[in-house]
Amino acid sequence: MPAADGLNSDGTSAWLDWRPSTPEQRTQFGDQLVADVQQLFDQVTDADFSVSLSDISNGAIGLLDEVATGKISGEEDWWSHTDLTDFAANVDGASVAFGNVQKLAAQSDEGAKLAEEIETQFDALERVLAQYGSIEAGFTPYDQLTDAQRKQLSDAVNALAEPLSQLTSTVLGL
Amino acid sequence: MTEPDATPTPDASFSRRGLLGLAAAGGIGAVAGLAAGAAIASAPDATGGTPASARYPFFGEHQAGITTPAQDRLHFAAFDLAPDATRDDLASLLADWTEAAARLTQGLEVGEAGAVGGSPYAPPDDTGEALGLPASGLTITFGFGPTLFGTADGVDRFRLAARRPAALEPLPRFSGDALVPERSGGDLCIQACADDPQVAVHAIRNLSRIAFGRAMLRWSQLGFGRTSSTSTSQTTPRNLFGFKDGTANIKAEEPDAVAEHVWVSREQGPEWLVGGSYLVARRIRMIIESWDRVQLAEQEALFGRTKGEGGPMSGGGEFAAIDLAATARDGSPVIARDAHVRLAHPETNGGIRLLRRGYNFVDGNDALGRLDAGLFFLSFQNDPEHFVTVQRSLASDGLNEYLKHVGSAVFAIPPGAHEGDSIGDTLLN
Ligand code: HEM
Repeated sequence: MPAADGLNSDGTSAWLDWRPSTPEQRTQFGDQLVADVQQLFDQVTDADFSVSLSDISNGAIGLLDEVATGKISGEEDWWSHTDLTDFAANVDGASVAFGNVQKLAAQSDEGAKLAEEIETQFDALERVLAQYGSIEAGFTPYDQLTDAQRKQLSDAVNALAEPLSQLTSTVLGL
Repeated sequence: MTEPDATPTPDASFSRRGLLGLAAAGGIGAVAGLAAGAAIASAPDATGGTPASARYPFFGEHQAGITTPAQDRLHFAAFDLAPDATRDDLASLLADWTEAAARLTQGLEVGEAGAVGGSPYAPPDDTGEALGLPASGLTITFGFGPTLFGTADGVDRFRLAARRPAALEPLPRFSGDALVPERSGGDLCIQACADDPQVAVHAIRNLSRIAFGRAMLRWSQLGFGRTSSTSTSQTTPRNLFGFKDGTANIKAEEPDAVAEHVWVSREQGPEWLVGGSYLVARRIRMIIESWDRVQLAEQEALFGRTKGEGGPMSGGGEFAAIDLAATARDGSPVIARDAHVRLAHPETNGGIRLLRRGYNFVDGNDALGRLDAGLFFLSFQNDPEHFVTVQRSLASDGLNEYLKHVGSAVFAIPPGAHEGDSIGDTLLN
C-alpha cells in the first residue's frame, strides 16, 4: 500500500504499483502530497529537514521516471487505453512537488538556472500532452498515437527528466 | 593539426582514472596542452592497428577521425534538433559537445565530477562504463545535415539558410535504393571511433545525454570492425564478403591526395567550411546467405580482385596498379565490365577518389532468419557530387545482386576547432 503522501519510504513513487489508481485516490494523493509538502516546508529549520526535502524532489523525479519507463513504451496499457491520463497525472504530481521546492532550489545562481530550465521543460511537455486532451476531458487512447507522436512525448519527457534529476542535490545544496 | 592527422601516444598509464586528479588541478586546457606536448611519434603495433592507449588531439585544423588511422570500432549517431530549439540552443549544444569531446578523446570522464566524484544526491556526471579504460584512440567527429539549413518544407529554423553550402543537398535517389526514412538523414551527426567498443559507445551515450532537450537521437549504428585502412601503417582489413577492403583507399601518407580530394578548399568554399569535408553514410545490407553460395572465381570476378591476397585480377600483389585495359586471349577484359573495382576506379570516374572509412555491422537477424549484416559505408570527400558520380557508376555493379542500400545521409563536416573555440563557430559566428 502506498504511504499517505504517495511516496514510498525510499522516496520513490508509490504509484509505481501496477494497479491504476482511481481519480478519487489520485486527488487524495495529490491533496495529501500538497499538505505534506506544506508541513515539510514549515519544518525547514528542523535539523533533519534535508531528508524531507529530498523526499519531495525525489518524488517528482520518481513520478517522471515512471512515465519514462512505463507509460511511454505502452507497457502499462494492457488493462485499458487511458494511460495518457495516468501520464498527465504523474506530470501534474511531479509539477506540484517541483513547485514546492522551486524557491529553495532557486537560491543559488546555478539553482535558479536549473529551476528555470525545469519550468520550461514542464511547459513544453504539457503542451505536447495537451494535443491529445486533458485530465478533465479525457485523452486519445495511447494505442492510437503514431510512433512519431510517441517519440515526441518520449523526447519531451527525457528533456524534462534530465534537468529534474539534478533537482535533489541542488535543493539540498549538497 | 597537420597531416598526417595525429600520432598515437604509447602511454598506457594515461587512463581516465589516472587523470582525475590532474584534470581537477589544471582543468581541461592544461590536460589538452599536456596531451599535445606528449604526442610524439610512435610506431603502431605489429598487427597494424593502433595501440589501445593511442590518444589523438581533439583540437586542430581539421577534425580528427578522418585521416586518423581507422580505428577498429564505430558508434555513429544522427540527431534531430528539438522542435522548439533556437539558434542559441544549437550554439550551446555545440559548445557543450566540444567541451565533452575534448575531454573524452583524452581518456577523461565527460565532466570534472565524473562517475563517482560528484554529489551523492545527484546522478553521476559521467555514466561510468569507461572508468579505468584508456582513451583507446577515440576520435569524435561532428557534422551538419542539409536539414539544419532549412527543412524540406523550407523552414529556416536557425537562420542558416544563407550559409548552406550549395553542395549540401540531400542525395539523389539511386537505382536499387530501398531507403528507410528512420535510418536516414538527420540535422547533426557524431562519428565516434575507438579501438574499444565500450569507449565508442560511452562517447555517444554521454553526448546524447548532454543533448536531451536540445537534440535527440534519430538513428544510430554500431560497427564492429573497420573495412578500411586510412594509413599505410595499417594492414588491410576485410569486409563481410571476405575481401580485403581499403587497398586503394586514400591514405594519410598521401597529403596531396588528401588535399585534392578530402578537404574543402578556399576556392570551393563556403569560407566557414574550408578545411572541412563532406561525409556520406550508407547502411548497405549484404545478402550474405546468397553470397556465400557464389563460386570463388565468380566472387573474384565480381570484385576484380583476388580473395586471398587482394591483388587486381590483371596481376600483381595487393598494391599493384590495376590494368583496366588488360584483355584475355579471347579479347574479353580481364577485369570484368561489371567488376566493382572497374566501376569504382578513378579512371572510370574522371579521376575522383573518395576517402572510405566504413565498418562491418551485424545487427542480429531478420524475421526470415537471415543475418542483418552488411557494410556501414562512410566516405569523406570535398564534394558530395564525387560520391554521387561513383555511386551512379556502380549502378551496373555485379555486386548489386547481393546488396541493398537501406540507410543514407550526407553531412557537411566543419573544420576542426582551435582550443578555446567550439566546433561550428565558423558557421555560427
Ligand atoms: C557493401 C558494399 C561494398 C563493398 C563490399 C565494397 C568492397 C570493395 C572492395 C573489396 C574494394 C577493393 C579494395 C580497395 O581498393 O579498397 C573496393 C574498392 C572501392 N570501392 Fe567499394 N565496396 C562497397 C561499396 C562501395 C560504394 C557504395 C562505393 C562508392 C560509391 C565504393 C567505392 C569504392 C572505391 C572508390 C574503391 C576503390 C577503387 C579503386 O581505386 O581501385 N564501394 N570496394
